[in-house]
Amino acid sequence: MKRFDDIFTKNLGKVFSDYNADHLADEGWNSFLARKQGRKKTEVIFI
Amino acid sequence: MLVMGKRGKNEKEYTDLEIILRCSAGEVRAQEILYRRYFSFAMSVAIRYTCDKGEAMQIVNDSYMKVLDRITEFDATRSFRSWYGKVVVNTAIDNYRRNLKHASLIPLADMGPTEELEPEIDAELSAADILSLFSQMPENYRVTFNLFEIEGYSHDEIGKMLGITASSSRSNLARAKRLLRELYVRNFIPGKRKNEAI
Repeated sequence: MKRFDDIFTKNLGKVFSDYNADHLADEGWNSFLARKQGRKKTEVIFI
Repeated sequence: MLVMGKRGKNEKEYTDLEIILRCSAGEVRAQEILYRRYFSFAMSVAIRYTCDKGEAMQIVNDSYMKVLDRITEFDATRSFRSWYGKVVVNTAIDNYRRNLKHASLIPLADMGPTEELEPEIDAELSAADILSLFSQMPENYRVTFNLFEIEGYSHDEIGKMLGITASSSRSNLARAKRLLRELYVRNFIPGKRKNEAI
């Protein structure tokens, strides 16, 4: 009988290593830029 | 397609180090290329700790902000991927600790008699099935499982990261594994009662 824990962990590791989120990269970059610009504005206000 | 430099060199032709040097000079285009190059990788780390894509993206963005803040400290003899991965894990843990009040603890008594349960797992279980099982675990179990089984931290290290004792980390891991078996039986072995011999 296959060891459940070992196989589950191995499968889980593979799922995450194959994980592809490229379709979300535009959204991610745009939200990152917005956050970065927001931080710059905050820094200016505090200066 | 992003293009850097006057000669229009393709983004894929640049090494990590070349892009990192441009990032440290404050070139936004280089920052975007580096962000996109490692976006899927960073999301794959963050999603293990939240199971929510929006929150995972926030972790990735917080992590990348830290990376850019410290880019001049990057040791060029080491792998950027590994360095970035550690920053994402640490940011995910910070996020988890901030949200600790939402963590749910399932008493062992409520988990069913699964201690001796050793279901035979289908080696071809789909990615969606595995993620579904994983997302059903309480956050504290999932985080401990990740840190020990996937990232390879010791229970002492996990204890320090999460602000718990090493024995609590061991206990969380044991409970996480037990719960996973229980969830697997419930979700993928129809007709089998959880206390039935398998």
